Amino acid sequence: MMKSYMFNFLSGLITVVIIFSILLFGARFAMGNSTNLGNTTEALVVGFFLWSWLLGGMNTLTWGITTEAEQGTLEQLYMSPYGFKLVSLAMLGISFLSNLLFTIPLLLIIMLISGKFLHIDVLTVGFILFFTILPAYGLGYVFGGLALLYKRIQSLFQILNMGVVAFFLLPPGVLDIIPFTGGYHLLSMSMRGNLGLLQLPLPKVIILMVSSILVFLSGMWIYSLIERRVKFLGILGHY
Amino acid sequence: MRVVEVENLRKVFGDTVAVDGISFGVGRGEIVALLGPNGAGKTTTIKSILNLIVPDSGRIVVAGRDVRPGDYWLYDFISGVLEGNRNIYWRLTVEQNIRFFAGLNGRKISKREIDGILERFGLGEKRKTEARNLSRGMQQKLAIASVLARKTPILILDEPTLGLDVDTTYQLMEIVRSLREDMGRTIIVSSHNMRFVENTADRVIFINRGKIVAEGSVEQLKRMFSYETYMFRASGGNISPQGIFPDGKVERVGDEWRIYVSLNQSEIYDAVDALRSNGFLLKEIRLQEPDLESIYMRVMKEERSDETASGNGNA
Repeated sequence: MMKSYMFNFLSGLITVVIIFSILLFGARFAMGNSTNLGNTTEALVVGFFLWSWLLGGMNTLTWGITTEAEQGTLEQLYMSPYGFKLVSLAMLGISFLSNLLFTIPLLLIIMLISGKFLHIDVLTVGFILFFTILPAYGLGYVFGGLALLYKRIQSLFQILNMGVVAFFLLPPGVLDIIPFTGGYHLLSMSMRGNLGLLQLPLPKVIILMVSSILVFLSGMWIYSLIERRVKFLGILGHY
Repeated sequence: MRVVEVENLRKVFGDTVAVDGISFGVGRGEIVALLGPNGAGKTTTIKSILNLIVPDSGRIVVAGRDVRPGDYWLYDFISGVLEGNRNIYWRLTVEQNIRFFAGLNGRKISKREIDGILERFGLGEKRKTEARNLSRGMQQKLAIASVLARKTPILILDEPTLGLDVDTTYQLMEIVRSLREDMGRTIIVSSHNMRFVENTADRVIFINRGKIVAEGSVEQLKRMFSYETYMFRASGGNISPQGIFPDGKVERVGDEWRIYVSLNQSEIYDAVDALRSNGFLLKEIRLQEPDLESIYMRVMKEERSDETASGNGNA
């Protein structure tokens, strides 16, 4: 079994690295020898690293729920005395660990390709990452719920997968209340500016934590509402 | 003592009444079968008991407690296999599936217990085989074995014999019986397989159009309908006997006809007259012990005629 997962892991990693390389060399070609090239490369490394995490976060529940429904095991997960919420949180925990295994080598490879070795304070990066990814899991709940209700949401979800990058392009300031935007800016400050957690602006860190938890809990709550509707319609295990 | 009670269960999907005021109870250690045509309301009833569908009205009681929407305490007492072999992880091995499902109920299952389950289901040699590489029958058995690992006292099996060959169906029949006899499990099963139900169930509930239309033990149902089922052995004839008995079952054995037909006593003479007047030579008339299938066909036929008589024959 590990062999088939290893193939999946390696092919996924190679694909993502190729996409990064195209973006990087495309940007270099477009900008020539611009003085901003160094900053752009650093931003690209941080953005790409965060984007790969967010994709993992959003995909876990959305595709997880869809796949479980398709193979007929979703109802089995619901028939746990711990409740589906706890089962799904366990799924997220496992997904977090497997994302870690994917994104650490990815970060090393893309830093190697770009030639930009950014500062990685494990505690700071881990802390900011956690609160930036948490809302992605919340969105995963929402889209997982929509997948239960409407079954086919791939188009909408793919747009979101790409569209999430737009949040990184928003300027810092008021829009930092959006956890993806605030998280990206804090992560950039830490990785590019060599700042530890205590050196980051405290209000921005608190805003990130609060908004992140709010989005995550809202996602779970919306999922509960959709789940009630799905059980009322009797389509929980449908695919 | 009743471990599952269903009271006035009703569920409507759009314009379709799936379940229309069904009530029944299941005693501890009992095997109860739900029988009915496709769309009769069996699966909706089962999923409502499992709290996977929220009913419009009615009451479900499991282990003496009312089940409310969103409750999950009931899964300490009840588990189910729905849609046969679709309930397992195809990329996990037999043993991994069993461990995973036990874990869903917070159980760390011992190797000895796994061995016992695998032996019971004849899956011992396949413990390291991925589920996707098993035959359909083995997958079906694995689905039941995995749910068994949850160790709930009540099991629900929805169509456990769907798509299985005769041999595997027979093995499953033995397994289901042994789950009750050796392990004291209470089982609710829905199936189209009459032989399976006849050989496993203590009680049979016929459901049609969301309502219970007959209920009793297989023996009670046989007594209820036994006076009506006759077998005529005849040869010759100018026409096929099916033309005389459109609702009967007709078999050709060599140069003879065997005609199985449900009649009341006064109709026997008319039947004999009809056979003779069509050139049949009557060799034997025998009161036939009905099987569950003939009882089922009879009940459903009566249901159809009631609907026609009341002008409610539309689906």
